[in-house]
Amino acid sequence: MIGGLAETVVGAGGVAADYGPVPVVLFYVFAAMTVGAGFSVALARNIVRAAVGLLFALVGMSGLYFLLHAEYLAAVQLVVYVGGTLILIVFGVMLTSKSPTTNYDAKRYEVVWAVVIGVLLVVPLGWLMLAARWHGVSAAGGGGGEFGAGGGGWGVLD
Amino acid sequence: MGLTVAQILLLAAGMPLLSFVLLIFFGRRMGYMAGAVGTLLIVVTLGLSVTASIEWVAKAEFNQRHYVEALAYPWITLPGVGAENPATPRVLANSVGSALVMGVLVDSLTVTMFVMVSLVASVVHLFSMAYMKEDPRYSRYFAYLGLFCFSMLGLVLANSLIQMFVFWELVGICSYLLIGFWFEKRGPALASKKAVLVNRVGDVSFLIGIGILLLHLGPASLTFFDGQGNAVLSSAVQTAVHQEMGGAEGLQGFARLLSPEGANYLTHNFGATFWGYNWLTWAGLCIFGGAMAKSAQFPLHVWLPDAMEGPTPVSALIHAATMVAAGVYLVARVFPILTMDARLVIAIIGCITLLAGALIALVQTDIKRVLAYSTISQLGYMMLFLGSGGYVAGLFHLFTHAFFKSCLFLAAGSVIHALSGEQDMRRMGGLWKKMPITAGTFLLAVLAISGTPYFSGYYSKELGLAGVYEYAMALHQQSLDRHLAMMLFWVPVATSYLTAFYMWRCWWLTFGGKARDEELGEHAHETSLMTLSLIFLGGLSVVAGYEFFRVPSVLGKSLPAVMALGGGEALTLSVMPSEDVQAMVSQWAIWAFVAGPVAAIGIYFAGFGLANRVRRLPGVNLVYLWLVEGMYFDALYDGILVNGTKAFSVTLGFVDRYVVDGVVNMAGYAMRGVSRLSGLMDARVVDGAVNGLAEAARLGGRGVLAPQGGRIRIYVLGLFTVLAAVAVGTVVYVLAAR
Amino acid sequence: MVLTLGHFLMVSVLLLAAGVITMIVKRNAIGILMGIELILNAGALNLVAFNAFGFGGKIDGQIFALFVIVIAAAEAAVALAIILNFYNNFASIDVEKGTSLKG
Repeated sequence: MIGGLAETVVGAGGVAADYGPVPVVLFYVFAAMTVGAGFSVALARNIVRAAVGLLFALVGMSGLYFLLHAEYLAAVQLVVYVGGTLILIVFGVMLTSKSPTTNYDAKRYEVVWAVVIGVLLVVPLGWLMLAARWHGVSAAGGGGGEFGAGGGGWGVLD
Repeated sequence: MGLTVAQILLLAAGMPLLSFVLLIFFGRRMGYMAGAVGTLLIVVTLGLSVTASIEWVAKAEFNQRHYVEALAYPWITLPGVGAENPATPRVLANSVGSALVMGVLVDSLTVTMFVMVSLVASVVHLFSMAYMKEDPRYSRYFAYLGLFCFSMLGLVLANSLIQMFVFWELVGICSYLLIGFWFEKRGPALASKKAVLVNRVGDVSFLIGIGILLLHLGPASLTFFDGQGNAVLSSAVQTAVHQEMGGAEGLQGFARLLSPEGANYLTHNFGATFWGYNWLTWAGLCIFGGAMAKSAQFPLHVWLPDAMEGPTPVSALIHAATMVAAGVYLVARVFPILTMDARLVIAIIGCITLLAGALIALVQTDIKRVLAYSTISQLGYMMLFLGSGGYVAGLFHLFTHAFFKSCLFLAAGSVIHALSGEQDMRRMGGLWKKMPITAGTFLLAVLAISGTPYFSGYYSKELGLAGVYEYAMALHQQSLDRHLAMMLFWVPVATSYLTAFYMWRCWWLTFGGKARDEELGEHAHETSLMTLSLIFLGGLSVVAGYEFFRVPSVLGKSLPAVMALGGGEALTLSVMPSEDVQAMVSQWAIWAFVAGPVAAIGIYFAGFGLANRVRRLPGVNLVYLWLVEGMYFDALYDGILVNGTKAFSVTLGFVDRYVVDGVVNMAGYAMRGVSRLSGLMDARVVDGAVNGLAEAARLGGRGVLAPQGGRIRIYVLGLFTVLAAVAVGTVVYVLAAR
Repeated sequence: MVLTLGHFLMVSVLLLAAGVITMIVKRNAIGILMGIELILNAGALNLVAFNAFGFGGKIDGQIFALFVIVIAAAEAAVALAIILNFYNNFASIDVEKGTSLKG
């Protein structure tokens, strides 16, 4: 049934089509889940909580794969990543957690720097991705903008 | 059976691979069953290969001059290699296209080698079951043997030079594993390393040779035969030479190029374009370079004596019968494309090798080392035979040598086993009473190697020497000095006397006379498995050369037909020398089988007494020392290559320490001077400002130091800072370009 | 309402940022490993999204994402071994302590 949903989002030929609000809502649910859990990994002070956050991020990714018509990949994501890799990481946590009092907190300047770099990555990359007119991407799929038209010398972004 | 010969042989080659896989994964659990499993599978291989050979000889097509069954599949497509060069002749428009080829090649040579390898391998497996019984890594040993047999059989079946190179490396690594089988000991560990390093030299040379052919002929021409049985490599070379020489005379020219008067012909008729096809000679020589390392030819022979550190059955299989013969096999496979010059070099190298090996073998006292140098010498014979055009003789000698030499090694192994690891002949003697079957089979093999009539070695050596004689005569009729050319004939003849002498010496010192160490030999005994193997190989080393097996004529069928194209009369000359020449040459070389034992037993009748007195004579003692140290090759290589490398590294270290560090230190001193100056300034002039400056410098220094603290997160930080900078920069660039 | 490539790319960018911040902020070696997993996922999402929107019936991008997943699994196993060794040597998995390679 979920596979059918994916069909409605992207369409067989990769051409986006309007199938009503359900897939879009689902997308926002999964996206919020993924991104939120991802940031919770970054911000969690307890490593076990970070692991739980990672779990949700990975499950959310799997949902996004379903929406992208990649059902097999989504299944593999669930089986291998959530079922294997994550368990491995949790084992690592269990095998190395000596005392709960060990302090792994970052220094403040490191947090500041991390956030600065995060912002510096998100803003320009996000802008580039939205502004680019991707070569070969179906019209409905790509973002707007005139990016690259006058830039010259860009192989991919033409 | 509905299978073709090629299919049977593929199946046969798969058996040892199966044995390897089984034993490497489940061997330890099998215990002593491991040896039985390995032996059983290799015996299956033997059965299959004998079946195949019978089927092969019975084939109707076999009566043609040359017949092959080949499979060729494109493996890696290399579009455009060599195609950019318009001068490169594009010779191939056949089924395989422009791809490197994997395939199976079955001709008489393959079948003969296959039977030989699986035969010796089976016997060695059988022998090893007894020999390695107490070894803690028993199953590992048989796994390695299986891998080796698979690689060797694969090498024999390979249908292209590239594929051959793959198996070439595989047998090399098996040799490494088996020489260093007892890697806890220093000797085997060093010996295996040495074998790999020396072979590396040859492998690079082989690869360069392949590269030259690839450049001039394109990838597909590295195939030996295509699916229709056309000789791809040799006809590609022929066409290329034909084009380069231009016009109608090309075919004739090519044939002459390969014939004894070729060198003369070149200089007279094609002086201007000589360099145009010199690549062919170089390709041949480079490929021969690979064979030189594998077949322990001078000056790359140094690894073989050291390889005797491995288990003795391994020495018998790998370092006497099969792997070292792979070089000879390789030369035989590329034989049709070897130019006259290349073959002359091969003959000369073979001649030097056979003499050097025999001379060193004269004075060795370690039984396995005598056999190792003897192997080097015999391999020299094979190379000389091949180089002088005796295609059949070289391979025939390879065939017979495999049996008598592996028999010698296994008998030596039996002795070493009985004496609990003793290899020094000075402590042996009189063992024939304790080990009559070992002594008897060893004697059979000694008779064979010293060319006693009606033993296998006699046939192959006489055939080869006759070929060499004709070759030397042909050389001398051209420009070459008569005496120099005839050296190629007289040296091997003289060496055959040396061979008989040192082999008889070896036998007498081990088995004959009285025991020199009563205690050691007291409990010596033979085990039934070992004697069974020995009797089998001893019998083969007698009969392998007999007319009944038709080995020479079968081998002759594998000589590619391209050789006969365009007036190659001169070429076939020494492939099968005439009866007259054989009879004449026989007169010279035949008496070795009498002279050898007489001299050897005469000198060593009562042990080392007489020999020791002779070797202390002034003059002789220096020669003795020179020979006993293996002509100082190890010292030479150690001195020049190893120490050279070390010296180079030390020099680099010196440069690093004194020049590079010096510059850095100078900068440091300069910096210190500047700081001191600034300190002075600080004290005298504006305190506050300079204080600030110093503080800034200190912080800067700390800042520079901090990222180099081995702290991963700092690296991550730096990484993503740069990434962010790139992203921002891209945006700025795009916005600016708008 | 239509979903575009940009939607997915934005998720990918945000996930990348989360991973980067995780890698920088965490001193716990396993935390850093989690950051890497997030970054890998961001990359894989990119591949799948471009594949879905740009390549018709082909699945090249998905294949690559599959590789990413498998390699991430292998990498987690190796990293875990390294981390356990690290833990044995330093009695901690604080990467700040592992500075013995410093000259």
